[in-house]
Amino acid sequence: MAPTAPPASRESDDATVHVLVVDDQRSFRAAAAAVIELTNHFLLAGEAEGASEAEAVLGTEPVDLVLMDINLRDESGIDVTAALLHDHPGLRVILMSTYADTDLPPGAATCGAMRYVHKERLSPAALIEAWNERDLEGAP
Amino acid sequence: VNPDSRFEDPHEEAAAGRLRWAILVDEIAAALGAISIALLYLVVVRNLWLLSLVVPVGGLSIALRLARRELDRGDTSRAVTIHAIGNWVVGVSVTFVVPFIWPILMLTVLMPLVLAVPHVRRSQLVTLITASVGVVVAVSLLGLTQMTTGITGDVSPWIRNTVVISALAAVFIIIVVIVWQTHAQNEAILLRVLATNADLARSERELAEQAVLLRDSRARLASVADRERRRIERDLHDGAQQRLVGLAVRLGLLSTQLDESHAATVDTMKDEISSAIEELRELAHGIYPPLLAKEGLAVALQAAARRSPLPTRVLVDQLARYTPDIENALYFCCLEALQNAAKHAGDDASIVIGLHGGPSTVELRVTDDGRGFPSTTVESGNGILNMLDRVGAVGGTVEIGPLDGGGVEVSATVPATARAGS
Repeated sequence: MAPTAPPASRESDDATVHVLVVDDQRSFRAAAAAVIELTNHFLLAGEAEGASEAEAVLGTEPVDLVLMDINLRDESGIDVTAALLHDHPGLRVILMSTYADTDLPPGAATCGAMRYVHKERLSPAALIEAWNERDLEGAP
Repeated sequence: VNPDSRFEDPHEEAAAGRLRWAILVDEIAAALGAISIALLYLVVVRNLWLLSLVVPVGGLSIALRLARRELDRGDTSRAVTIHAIGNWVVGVSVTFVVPFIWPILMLTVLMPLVLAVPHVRRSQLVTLITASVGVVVAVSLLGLTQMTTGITGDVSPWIRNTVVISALAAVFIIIVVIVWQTHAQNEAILLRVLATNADLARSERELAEQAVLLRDSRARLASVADRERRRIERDLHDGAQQRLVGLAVRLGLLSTQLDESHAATVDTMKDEISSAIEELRELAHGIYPPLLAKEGLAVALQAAARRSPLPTRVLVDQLARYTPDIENALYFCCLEALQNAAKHAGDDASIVIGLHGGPSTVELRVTDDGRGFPSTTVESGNGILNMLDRVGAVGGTVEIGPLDGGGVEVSATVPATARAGS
């Protein structure tokens, strides 16, 4: 289960994946930040509570990957995903929530996110796996 | 209502009042009759037979005074009896003394029966009729055969005429009393019927108002309960679930930084937390399905179909978004139907959920092709009561029945118009 990426390097380089965490729950943002911190070649680009903060980070920081909560306070993570991907076509998005797969809204499959990960399964290994397979899969 | 009254029923008391009035008129007529006979004797006809009539006629007046006292004590039956016997004695004795006016006296003899009709039970009425027939026969026989004593046919015409006119005056009073009594009786019945009708109409109106209040209250209760369920689901989701998820993620991280034996311990802890998260998720879902409020009935029921243990298809036709009350009612009704099917239809069965949005209704149809369930379940099952309560609270109806080819269909129809913007 240990991360299989090259030895830790906290410096940003071409191989580094810059990650933006979008979640209205501070406790989960902190946990996700800790996971990113401990994942080789992944760097936390910023945290956001909703769409406008996410846009602000995207406007100032290079971001490769977004961890997007489906149930934001006043917005749908799915709608926000579609909007972000429209403005930033190269971006990759992983949708996250605590809901069972059967309870995902229909838009989860069509909003352009590359996969869906249960929040509790978030780990360095899961991040690396999702990133390595980013071009192999389409919708979640 | 008179608190000292002997009568429990005010209508009975009113009827007794009318009878008292009739008896009083009769009493006064008898007293005047006795006085008139005495005057007739003194002034016009020096006939001792005529004078002897003062006894029965005056006696009638006294008897009727007693009858009124019985009436005041609440004994209508005895008052009627005294009234009847008094009049019969007068009828017979007057016929004996003045046989030629017997046809006129028939009315005196029959009056008690006519006046008694509204006041006595059938058994007493039969006795009164039998006795009246006996007295009528006695009076007519006496009138036709008694020619020896009293004022008989051989008196002078002017005496005859005076007696006949006096008797006719008495009879006229009797007729007036009977007519008046009949009218008063009919009017009382009519007023009673009208009052009953008004009472009925008022009860009906009150019932209708109560029904509306109850329906509104039922809908409100369901609506409040649903809002509360949704709030609890959100609290669980945003609170305990998120904390546990954060903890699980951090434990996962911790495990990667520990040596193998410690990592195993932490992994066990993480598994425990994952189980708790799973259980909490199921609990929250049971309390309120997260997709229902956000995505509507069709999406929520598609999710419910995926969770169903039997293969379940959802067919949606022209469905819009509706008020939360209606969507909640139909969702939970469908969930009960799915649970019933899972319990009774058998493992080989499959289910079809049909949703159809009409211009003023939404229809839900849950059909399975299984074994069906015993008809007793239809009346008694809690699940079925839940369906009826749920759908009834928003003014809808539920029909549950077996299908010809086997299986069961639950069909719910709810009045609803699409929510604006859906």
